[in-house]
Amino acid sequence: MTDINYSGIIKRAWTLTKSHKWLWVYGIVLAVLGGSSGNFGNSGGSSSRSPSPENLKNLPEQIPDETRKVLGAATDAITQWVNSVSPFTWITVGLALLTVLSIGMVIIWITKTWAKAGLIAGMAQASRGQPVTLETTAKSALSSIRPLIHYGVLLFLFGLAAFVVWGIVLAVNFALIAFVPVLGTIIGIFLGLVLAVIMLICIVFFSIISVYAERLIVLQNLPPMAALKKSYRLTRKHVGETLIMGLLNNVIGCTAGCLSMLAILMLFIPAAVISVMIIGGSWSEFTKNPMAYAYALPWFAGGGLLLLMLFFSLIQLTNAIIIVWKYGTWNEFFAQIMKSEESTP
Amino acid sequence: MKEPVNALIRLAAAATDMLLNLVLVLLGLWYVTNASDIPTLFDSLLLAGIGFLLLPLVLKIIQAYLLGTYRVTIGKALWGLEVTDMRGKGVNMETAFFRTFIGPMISAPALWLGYAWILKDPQQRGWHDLASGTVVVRRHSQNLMLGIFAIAGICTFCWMLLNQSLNSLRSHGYLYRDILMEFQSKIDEEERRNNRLITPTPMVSPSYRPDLPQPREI
Repeated sequence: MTDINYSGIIKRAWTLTKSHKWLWVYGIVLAVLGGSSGNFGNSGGSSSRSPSPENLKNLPEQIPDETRKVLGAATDAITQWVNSVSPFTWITVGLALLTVLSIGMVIIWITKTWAKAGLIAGMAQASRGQPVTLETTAKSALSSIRPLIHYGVLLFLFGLAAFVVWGIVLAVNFALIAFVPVLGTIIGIFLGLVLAVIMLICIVFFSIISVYAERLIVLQNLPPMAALKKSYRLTRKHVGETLIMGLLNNVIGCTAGCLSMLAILMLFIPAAVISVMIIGGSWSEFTKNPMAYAYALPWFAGGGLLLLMLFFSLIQLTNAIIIVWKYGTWNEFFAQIMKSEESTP
Repeated sequence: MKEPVNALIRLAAAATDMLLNLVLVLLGLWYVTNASDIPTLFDSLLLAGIGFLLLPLVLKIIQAYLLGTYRVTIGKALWGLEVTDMRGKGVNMETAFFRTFIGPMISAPALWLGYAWILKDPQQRGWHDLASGTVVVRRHSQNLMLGIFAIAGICTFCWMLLNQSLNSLRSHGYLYRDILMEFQSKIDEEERRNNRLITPTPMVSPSYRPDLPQPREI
């Protein structure tokens, strides 16, 4: 195991983050687009926003009675028209929607890739003591977009292949449970557990590979396939150190995120209370007769909107700083690993 | 290199480009409000929906193409501006598409600070300019009057479209009343049917109702 100075990495990354504010622009882009938080490679972050299967299942019961009636009536009126529209028109609508969605996704993907490349290149420049601006880092970011996208496609194909193999084994597992009475169930449960563990390991492994590969592509200009091969070799050799770094990154990042969120909330709750008191005298009076305060409604709404925008912007900014710091730690970690690689014969 | 352009003229050029988008929206509105019966209204809504999805995208692609080929967007051309790289040469198609599609994603997220940066930067460059390595400069043949006339013309056209749409909305008001009344009558009908179907059932146990037969005690 290579001797890594974790506390040194964390401190240095923080110093670089603090002193190079241009890098925050990349962080903001990544924070807003919900991109990689610099934990491990390029995992997306939208799963928590999607509704749970339970919620989807209960959806028809959750619709209030009146709404259901209105929907019923509207559906009746619209159904006639829907039947009269030619399938060609629906296909056109579908294609238009698909085109816009795919172009939107491609734009978001390219922007995230650009921001990642810019952060990696910018952090490396900062670490070397070179001046860091949006202009100087953007050049490296622009030139790295294409190989990084190629690498992303390559990783996706590998992931897809792994997923297909995993699915086939899972199907065999279900067949075993269904057709072989007792032994099949025991083997099935055991195989299921093994598959779950293998999947988890694969996800972590691919994520660690991405940490190395992205830096090899941006900082050493390696082609995607060569970067993948080299990062695979590095991952196998330094899996323990990388896991510790990832764990430290996540723990510190989460703690900092929660603390800053609390601080922002503590800043905004008194502001909201004071604004309500200024406008309405007291909250109880306002709730008793809200119409008496109608004159204040536009001010209240405008102020509230501004406060809300500020609130979310502050959250995004904090997020952005944490993302930049995490990229900094990974960059410093990568530099130490590469140094140890060079020193070993 | 040519002289960079001040923020106000850049804002005017951007506003012209945005107004062109507004023209598309208002054309859609005008088209929808012209419908005189329910099926036509729904047909127009569908077509306008497709238009709302695709036309802004097509407009953006045209802007990027113009930028890559002639160094301008429509708004910039009208205001006598052009986009060049730092050596004063035109940008390639890749940079043009990057500036058009990715640029707003860089400058807009932090409360439009990336655009506000134009006021601070010595060369009047926003974050999208810095990221794509471009600068907006004055053309030799800059004529501000053309821009002013263009913006006035587009605004007048927008106002006319809006006026026409409101007039159509007023003259076809019966159509929307019909739709609302149809919905209302269906809701009433549904309610009447439900009231007829629901018969009051005793919620209390028979032992508390002396008028109902009581269970025998064993």
